Amino acid sequence: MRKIEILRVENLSKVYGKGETAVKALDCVSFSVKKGEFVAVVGPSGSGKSTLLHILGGVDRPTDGKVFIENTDIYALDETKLAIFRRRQIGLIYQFYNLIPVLNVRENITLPLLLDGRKPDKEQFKRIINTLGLADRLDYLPNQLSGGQQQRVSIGRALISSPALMLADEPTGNLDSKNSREIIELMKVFNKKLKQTLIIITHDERIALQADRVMTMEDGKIIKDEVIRS
Amino acid sequence: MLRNREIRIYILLLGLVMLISTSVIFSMDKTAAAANFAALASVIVISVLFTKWRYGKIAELSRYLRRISSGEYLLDIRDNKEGELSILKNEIYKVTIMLAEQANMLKNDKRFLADSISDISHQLKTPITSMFVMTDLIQDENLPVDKRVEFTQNIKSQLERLQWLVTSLLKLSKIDAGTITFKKEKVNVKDLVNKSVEHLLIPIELKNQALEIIGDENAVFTGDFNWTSEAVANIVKNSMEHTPEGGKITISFNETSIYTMITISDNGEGIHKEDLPYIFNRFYKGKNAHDNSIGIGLAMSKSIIESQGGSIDASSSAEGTQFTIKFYKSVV
Repeated sequence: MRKIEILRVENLSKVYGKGETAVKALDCVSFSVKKGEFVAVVGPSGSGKSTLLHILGGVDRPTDGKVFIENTDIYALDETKLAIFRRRQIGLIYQFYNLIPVLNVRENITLPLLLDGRKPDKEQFKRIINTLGLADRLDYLPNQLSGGQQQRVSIGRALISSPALMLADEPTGNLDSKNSREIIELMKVFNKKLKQTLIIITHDERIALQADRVMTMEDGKIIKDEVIRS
Repeated sequence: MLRNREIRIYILLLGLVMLISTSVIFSMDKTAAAANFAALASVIVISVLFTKWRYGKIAELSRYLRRISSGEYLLDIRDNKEGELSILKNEIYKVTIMLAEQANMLKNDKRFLADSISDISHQLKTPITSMFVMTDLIQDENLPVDKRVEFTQNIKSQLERLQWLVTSLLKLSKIDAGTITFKKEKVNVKDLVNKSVEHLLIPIELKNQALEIIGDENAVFTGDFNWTSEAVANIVKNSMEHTPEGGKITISFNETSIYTMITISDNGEGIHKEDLPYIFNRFYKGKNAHDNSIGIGLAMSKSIIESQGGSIDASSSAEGTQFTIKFYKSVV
């Protein structure tokens, strides 16, 4: 029996620049991801993996091709609707955390809900911060936290709206090995326990091997797509 | 809309306010009364229209829910607009996705059950057939005594295997069905590991293997001591069986702020890459599996660990295999 498809990418291409200087960052990429999958995208820098993630996250428009998230063709939506869609269905985690410096941990985590005019569910919030080990840090500002803690806050922020898809761009790129392991471990916990679909970009082979499926990119194409865990 | 009692009361109250205020003002000034009447009347009309529109949206949602309950799970009502109504649609959509997933899982369970029964029948059939042959042979009166002893011994070992198989299956099914309550006690990992390897020390010594246990003596986790020790023992047994004589098995453990981890690694023959995703599946036998292996030990370990909210994972290379067990401090 097939699992539910969360993401479908059809013939995605992205060209930067025009004419002679045009660079093809993505070249006709197609794949699909099922609910609850943990996918790692690996490849050398310049292989197009970050471009891919940005397009999946609704941040950068593709030159050609379609992205369906839970059957919604996201680039057929207008800007306002896409922004709302992104807020509710996509959780993004960046290498440099991108937390809001003037908001404390609690506010940073609940930001996606506040933008929607929603109140966070107390129970859900408590479960998330306990798992992330942030319960005693709620009133801290981002600059009072270590890198690992800041990244944990950004995981919380990505999770709070229970998004259909969580995307992480080199989430451990700025962390030491102990913190990297913790971050990956936490993502795995949410992936397994909440069936949170997760796509992560990394150049670290060891991190990629933690995923259920590894896609390798080169020159804007997916050259390998392997399931390593079922 | 008028069928809703609260709407009838609402309109009635609005009408009453209009009538009373108009008649009060009428006793003072006729023109003011007329203006008041017109203003209030238009307010009533507007609010009634709005309410009607809102109720229309609710009716739309209930039509949608009816279609979902008839099985159209992937119908998308999300409109990606601001506001409560759109959030409600979004939440309803999430619930329907969850429902669809559960329906899927039910179907999978059904298939899994059918597969299991066929696997089990197969596992039982082989020894039974061989025992039939053996008893036929024993019935022969001219059979020499030493042969008779050999055959009865063979039957006995087959029966032991069957008994073990049935007991394991029973345990496994109890775990999977959730009828076993796992204790939630504080378990010291060092004690746990020592208990797990207790019965394996002799076979390990017979194979001349080195067993190393290293880790933080104070490492603890919350779980069931006896069941977890059985799970760990199964893994260590598996490592021992797939490590050649003179090999080495290392069990290490530590506790971090997120989880308590136990790793069991060996320098044995390793697991084939194609087998690795499936080794925890019940009755799965990889390329390196022994002839008398059934493929139930690892499946049982996984069930025990996952039932307690933990996770187990295997990685392998030419240098050996490593199993990692984790128990998380807080589970979402």
